Amino acid sequence: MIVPLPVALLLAACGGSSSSSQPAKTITIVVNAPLSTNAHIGKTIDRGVQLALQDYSSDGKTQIRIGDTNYRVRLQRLDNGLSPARGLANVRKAVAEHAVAIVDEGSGIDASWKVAARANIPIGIVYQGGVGLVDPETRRNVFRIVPTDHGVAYRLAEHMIPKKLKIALLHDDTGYGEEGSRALTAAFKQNPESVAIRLLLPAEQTDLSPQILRAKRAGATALLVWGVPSTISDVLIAARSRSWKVPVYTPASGADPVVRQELADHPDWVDGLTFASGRITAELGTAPFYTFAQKYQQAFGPDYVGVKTSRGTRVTQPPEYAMYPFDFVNLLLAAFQQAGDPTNGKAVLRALEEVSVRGANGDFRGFNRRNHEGVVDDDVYFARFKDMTFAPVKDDPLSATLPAIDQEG
Amino acid sequence: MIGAAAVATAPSPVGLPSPTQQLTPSPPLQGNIGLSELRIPGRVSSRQVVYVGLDATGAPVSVGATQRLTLTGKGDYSFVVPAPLEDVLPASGTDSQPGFRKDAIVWQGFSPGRRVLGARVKLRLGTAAQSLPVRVSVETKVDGRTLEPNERRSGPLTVDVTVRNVTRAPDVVYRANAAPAGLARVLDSLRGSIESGGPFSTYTAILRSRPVPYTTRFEAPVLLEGTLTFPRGRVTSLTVEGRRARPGPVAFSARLGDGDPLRPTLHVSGQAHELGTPTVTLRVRPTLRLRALRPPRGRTWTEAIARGLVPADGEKLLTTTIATLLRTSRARQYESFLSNPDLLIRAAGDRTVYLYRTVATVRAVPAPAPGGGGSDVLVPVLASIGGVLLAAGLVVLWAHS
Repeated sequence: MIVPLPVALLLAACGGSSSSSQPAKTITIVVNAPLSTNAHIGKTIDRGVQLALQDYSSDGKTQIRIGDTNYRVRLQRLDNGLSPARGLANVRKAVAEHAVAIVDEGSGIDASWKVAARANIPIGIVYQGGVGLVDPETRRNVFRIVPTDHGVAYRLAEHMIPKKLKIALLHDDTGYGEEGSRALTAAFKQNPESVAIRLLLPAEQTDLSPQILRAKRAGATALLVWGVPSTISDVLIAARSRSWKVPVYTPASGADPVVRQELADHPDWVDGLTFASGRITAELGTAPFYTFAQKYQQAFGPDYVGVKTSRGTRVTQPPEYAMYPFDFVNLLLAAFQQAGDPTNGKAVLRALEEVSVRGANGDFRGFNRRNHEGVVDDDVYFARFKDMTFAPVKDDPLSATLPAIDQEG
Repeated sequence: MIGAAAVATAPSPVGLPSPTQQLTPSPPLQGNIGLSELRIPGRVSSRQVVYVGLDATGAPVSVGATQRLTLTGKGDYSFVVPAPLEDVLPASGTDSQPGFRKDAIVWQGFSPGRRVLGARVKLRLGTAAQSLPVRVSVETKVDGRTLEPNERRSGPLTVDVTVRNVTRAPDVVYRANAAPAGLARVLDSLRGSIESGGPFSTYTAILRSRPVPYTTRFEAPVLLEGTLTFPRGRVTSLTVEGRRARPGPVAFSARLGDGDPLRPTLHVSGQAHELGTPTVTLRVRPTLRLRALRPPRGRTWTEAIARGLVPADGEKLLTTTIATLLRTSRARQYESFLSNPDLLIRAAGDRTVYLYRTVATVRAVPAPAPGGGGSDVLVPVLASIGGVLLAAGLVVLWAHS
């Protein structure tokens, strides 16, 4: 069922007090995300959630009505510090506080999902794409809206292999890098001739010259780097400072502002960096995303990257990663409506497999009984940097259909 | 209904039934369509195999299907295939994973120019069985008594296999005298669409008399190939339709409908030796290639009428034309057991083969094991049918009446 959320719930919320004399019940949605370490990730997730609830808020209070009952929505922010242990502790706290849902960055899910499952609490992962985090057969309460590592790795392989490149597969020793390495291994399994070398990069090491030289000597004609943003900028520094103009490909972390901030003195070193990520716009065009971005900017102001173009204009970061928590919360609200009672966890979990909503980018979002992934692999596109901003590439069928998003202002 | 006054004054074209109309709501199977938007980047072709498990008497005990949709065109796709579903799994060779919601297969993604979307589904028996094109009845008697499931007996054997085309559906049509040349063009155009696989036209006729409405029923003609198999050495002195036959599987084929009997029966007898339930396998295909699409003489109907090779009987030809259009409509419906999201209906847009097979005493196909184990029930059915047809010891063609 497609639930036209804003109308259904907004009308319900506005009219709630007039048609129901009962005091509103309080339900809690927990945001479990890094709010101290890598705070921009947690901030983006939190903002996406807030934006989704904004239509039901006034005077700092958020209220929805499901059936004849008014519910006041309480947002509980818990810092996981990117630590699995803290992520698990936060989920325990959420269960203790009878939360109705958890919007999660993804750290610690391997342990925390069981705790939430026992209380029939849905978890929506909105940042980590690791293979195995989501499994509708065994982890019925875990959902995800963000490109998966599997999808990104296969799309990168599909894009790079036909170019007859000799690829150095590099990953760092963070959890993100290790997960990516697993996905890349699977994606390139059928084409070992395309792989020149595989190298592990220590994330704490800033000078990656030895590893980059090894890649060059192995005959690499392209680098595929799966690591945190600082690792990617270190790879670019090591390669470009030796005038090696090898093409560099990355997952979505290549678009993180940190990469450009660290290379602000050498903007030409960023030029040509190609990253894979979830498409920002649907085939419908840019209008839905710009509407979302405008709403985001009105609420929180522009996200400046901290660098400028060669014309001197400030570069802004499109709120791509705020779309995912925004869409998850909208699906959650649709599922509440279908379930008829947001505190009936079992019914909400069932409903989450049946509802769809129009997402921030204009695409329909939804899960089903066989798939708890809200971003399909087909929706991974490629973009390339030039002059500190990026635009979809033209040598990929999907990307070639997508417009560039304005990033200056 | 045709306006009588209009006919009396100046004959004007009146619409004939469309081969794209549906005389019954199903097939295609119905389900939940309120799940997603419909977006497809170009044309979609559907190829499917429907698997029907039969008990010892020929009653269906399970229905499943494999559907492969081929998208041609670049762009986003998003649609559902509604059906009374119990389970959905990806089919081999699929470029994308099917989603499964209540009574809907969900497809969403991007086609770079061509995409094959394959799903294997298990269907709710009660609902899906109502949309199958044939019903089967198997009566096995040993020593004059019906052989029960799980029973083995010896003695004189008779087996009657009856296959009934159950696709007939009523429609109100009309009798009138129509211009033969126009009807000839209709039949030739319809044949052209079917042979090229392209879209159908809008068909009209010029009436020369007041139309008289009446109700009659139209079937989807189907082509049947089947085999009746006994365990090796369990039947001797085998006779088929009264004629001695070599030991081995009995193969048979027939056209059901389009002027041929809708309910033929195969009669087999012999001597049973500790015989258990025999196995019936059937391959049923709807056909759009109807006999009336070709004139009795001449290459085309237009030529046959123009050269006087066939009688220019406007009333008889109108009846033939309407029946041909509506049989095409019925056959097209059964070509699309699971629906095709493409809104442009083309003659070659959908193909469905129905495979029936006795699954002995099994009352229902078990649910596929988690993690992709669902094919072990369905695939051997196809493999064994192919093998048995090749090994057939006797082929019986049911007489056309």
